[in-house]
Amino acid sequence: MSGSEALSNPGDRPLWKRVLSTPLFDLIRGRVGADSTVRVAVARANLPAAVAQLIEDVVRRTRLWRGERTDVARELITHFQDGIEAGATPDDLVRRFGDPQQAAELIRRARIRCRNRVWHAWRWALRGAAALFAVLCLVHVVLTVRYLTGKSVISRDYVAEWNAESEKIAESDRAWPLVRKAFLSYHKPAPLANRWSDSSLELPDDDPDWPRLVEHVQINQQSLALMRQASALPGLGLRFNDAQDDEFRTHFYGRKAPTAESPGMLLTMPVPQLNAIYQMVLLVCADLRVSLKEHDAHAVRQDLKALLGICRRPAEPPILAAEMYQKATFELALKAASDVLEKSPHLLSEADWIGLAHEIATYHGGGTLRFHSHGEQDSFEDFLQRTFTDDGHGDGRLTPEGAEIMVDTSEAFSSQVVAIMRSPPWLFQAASKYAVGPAVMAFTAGRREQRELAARLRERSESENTGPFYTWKVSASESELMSLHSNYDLRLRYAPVVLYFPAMQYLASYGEQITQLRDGVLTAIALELYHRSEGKWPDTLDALVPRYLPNLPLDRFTGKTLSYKLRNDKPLIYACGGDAQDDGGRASMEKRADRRYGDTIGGSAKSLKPGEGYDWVLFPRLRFPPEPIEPEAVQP
Amino acid sequence: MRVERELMRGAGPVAVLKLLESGAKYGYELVETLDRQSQGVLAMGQSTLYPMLYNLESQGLIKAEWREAESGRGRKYYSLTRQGKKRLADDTKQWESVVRALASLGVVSGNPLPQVEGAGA
Repeated sequence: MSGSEALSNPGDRPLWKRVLSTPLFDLIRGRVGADSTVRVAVARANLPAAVAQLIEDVVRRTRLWRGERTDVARELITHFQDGIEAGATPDDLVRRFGDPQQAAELIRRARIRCRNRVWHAWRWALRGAAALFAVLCLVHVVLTVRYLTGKSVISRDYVAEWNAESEKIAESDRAWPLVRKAFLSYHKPAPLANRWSDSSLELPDDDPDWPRLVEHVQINQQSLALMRQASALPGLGLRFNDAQDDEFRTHFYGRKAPTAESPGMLLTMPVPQLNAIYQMVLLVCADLRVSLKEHDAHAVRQDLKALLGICRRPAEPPILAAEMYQKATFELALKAASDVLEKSPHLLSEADWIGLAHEIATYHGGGTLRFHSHGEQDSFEDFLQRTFTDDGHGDGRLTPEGAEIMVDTSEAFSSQVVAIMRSPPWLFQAASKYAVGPAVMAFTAGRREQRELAARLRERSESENTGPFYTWKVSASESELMSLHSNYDLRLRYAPVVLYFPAMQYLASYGEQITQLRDGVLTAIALELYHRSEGKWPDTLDALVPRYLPNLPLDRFTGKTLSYKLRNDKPLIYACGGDAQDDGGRASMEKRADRRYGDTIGGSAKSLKPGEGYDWVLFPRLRFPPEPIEPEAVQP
Repeated sequence: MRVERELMRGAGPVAVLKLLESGAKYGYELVETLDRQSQGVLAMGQSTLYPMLYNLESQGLIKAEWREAESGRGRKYYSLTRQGKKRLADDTKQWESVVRALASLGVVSGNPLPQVEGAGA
């Protein structure tokens, strides 16, 4: 491009030529400046050297766009040409022009003001974004420093405290050594037999898997004998998180387990041991199931006694997981007693049934069966002290170690956060230390707020729905807890509470269901005793009180007495279920868990009319045979 | 005598607008005319003039146009826009008020404003 072309009037040039003069095109063509164009134009103007130098100097210092520079250059050239034509000397003109640096700066500012509004809007947007980015960077740096300097302080050793309680039990009274020995000698069922390993009580007599169940029981007689011994002992004496017990851990996991459970999760520490106990409970159930079919009265009696003995001990450690395993064992004991009563009641003597009824009725003090959460508070506090700092006044912030513990143990974080923090080691360390961790710390509520929320939820849940089902109302604590689980922001902000706070209403519901089942079984035993004594079934349950039952059994869905009728000269005992309507003892055969208890508890079931819904048949209990397993599903 | 920079910052634009009221002018012509007509009082460095012109242009008070002069060279001529004329009228009234106010205080000679209560004679 010639100098004259370069300095032609921009407004006179066609659009495509003007487009070619934009900064973007300058950049594409590798011409980031217009100095050469200006130099050519100044040279063509034949101005004195001092003047030419001044123009080039001023234009270069403006640092404007190429088109703007050429325009300024052109105007200055004509300015000095006019001055020379008017008779001024070059030195005079240069002197009168003023300071080139100041001129360039003023011209630059003024020409930038002349640019269009879109450019100015874009400029301010960029400046705003840059300022915002700078502020965010600064905040992030501050947060990162704060995050990386956070340290957890273990001020109370809950594990040691719980273990100390266990060690108070005399060695001869501890069941755990026997249970452990039973578990170590236990031969796990073959993969195909897994379909009944957790529900052998449901296995029909003609099931093709029956021979395998018999074989499984036979090869585990040593474990059974040890469990029967263990069930007679008053305490468990469990030392949990015992990293030294490699033999147990290897047997439990089926492979070498190199490390103990996460030290941050007090809640999960005893799970392997509790799970091992439950596997032994299922072995006892399997033996009872086989013994019942073979009419082995002695074995049936021993197994029932063992089941009740195992679940009668106080929960060790005092956490809900231990209570859950105990109540699940009690439920199995009730089902087993119900099966014996239904199929072969004469296997047990009158004295046996009376003794069994007494044990069942006094399980955990009788009355309504509830879960207790005091151990959970310790567990929650332990989690907080391992994951948050301690400012000495009950507050603190999430620590790097705490974030790792939560990622290891939590589904509270989003899958994206977990994915980042579980990236390859170098990426994980960088991401968790410098990117995700500080942000998570800033977003996560402080230690005090976590504790206050947990305390409020606990207080509310313990005061709600403490009576039988028919008195239940919508639970505010449950609604709040559900909102914590369902809302992503809240789930992240209160991750420790989401992780640790138990579903208290679910547990209360489970307690109600076991209570109802217990009362049904106790009524069935009372009916059996009445029948043995009177040679007939009573017309109503009133006849059982007070000789066979201290009080009439409560239907926990209606507040009335449990329903009773004879069907095929056999007693049928049922509760009305969620609709609180007597449907004549009609049971749902749907395998949905809620249907097993008749209608879904609460909700729309209340609007059903008598006969439209279902009842919860307590005796004889419904059985849902195990689902067959597709062969490919059990391939290793 | 040259006026102070701050005073010139206020007076310069209105002086340029006034000069353009009589017709389009190019940069050197404006500098020379200002210098001559104001007897050097409003003379501004040429490095100051062009930024001022660009500012007035960015405000829409003047517009620029390249024309061919008699000598055959191109020159950039500046002329008032309608908005510029309005601004000039407004600024003129304000300057007149200022001058009258200063005159009433005896700062400048001329027709003083009516005596303001509390002001000295």
